Amino acid sequence: VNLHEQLDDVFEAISPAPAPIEATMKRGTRIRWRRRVVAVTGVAAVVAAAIGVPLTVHWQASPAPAITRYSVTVRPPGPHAPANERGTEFKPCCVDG
Amino acid sequence: MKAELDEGFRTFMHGRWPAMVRLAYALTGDQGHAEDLAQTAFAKAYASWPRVIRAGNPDAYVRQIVINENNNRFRKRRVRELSTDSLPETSIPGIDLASRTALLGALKILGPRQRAVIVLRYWLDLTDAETAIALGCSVGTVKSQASRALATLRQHAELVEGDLR
Repeated sequence: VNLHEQLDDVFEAISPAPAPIEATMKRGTRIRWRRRVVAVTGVAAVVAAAIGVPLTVHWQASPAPAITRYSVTVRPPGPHAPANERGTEFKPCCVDG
Repeated sequence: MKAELDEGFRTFMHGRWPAMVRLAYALTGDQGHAEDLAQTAFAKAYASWPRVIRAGNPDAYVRQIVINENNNRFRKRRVRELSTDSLPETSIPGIDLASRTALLGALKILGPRQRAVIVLRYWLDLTDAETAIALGCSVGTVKSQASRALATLRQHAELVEGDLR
């Protein structure tokens, strides 16, 4: 008697309970729904990441706009200034000089 | 269409349930676990039934799930079986070592992987390569596990007398 036949004898002697077909089908349906929920959640997560990550990265990567403040000192136009002149730049260095 | 698929599944499960429970029993050594394992495998097959049918070999599909679920059972729950020096069944005088009880006892002292190799390789008659694919390991591992398992079984020599391939 070889091992195959001995194993056959052992396992063929097992008498399983009747097949729980309807219960198995219900369980299978639940598994199917769970898979669908997981798939939809996964797709939603990927879409959210695809939109959200570039926005976040862009927001973090772009430098804050440089705020340059110009301080201009002008003198009001003189009485003989051209009509379109609004003012004359005041240069402190020239005054000092 | 769905009714047809469901009817096909019912017929398939009705026909293959005993064989899958026996396979699960061969892998687990426990009838309760075996029936649970087989039901899980059929439920997973039903969850993808149209795809399983299209693939053309539902029997192999369910069998593979049984094997995978058994592997997962050992991974997740850290079920361990410890080897023992002696088997109560074999130590009882007058009991033929080739009896069902003795062989079951001998299989139970094997680790889960070795038992799976013996079951797939020597009971289901899969090749080394097919066994390796089913268990997700290399052909070399199958050969070494089979060799160790047979060596363990040979300690109870009457169990494995005959033409082992």
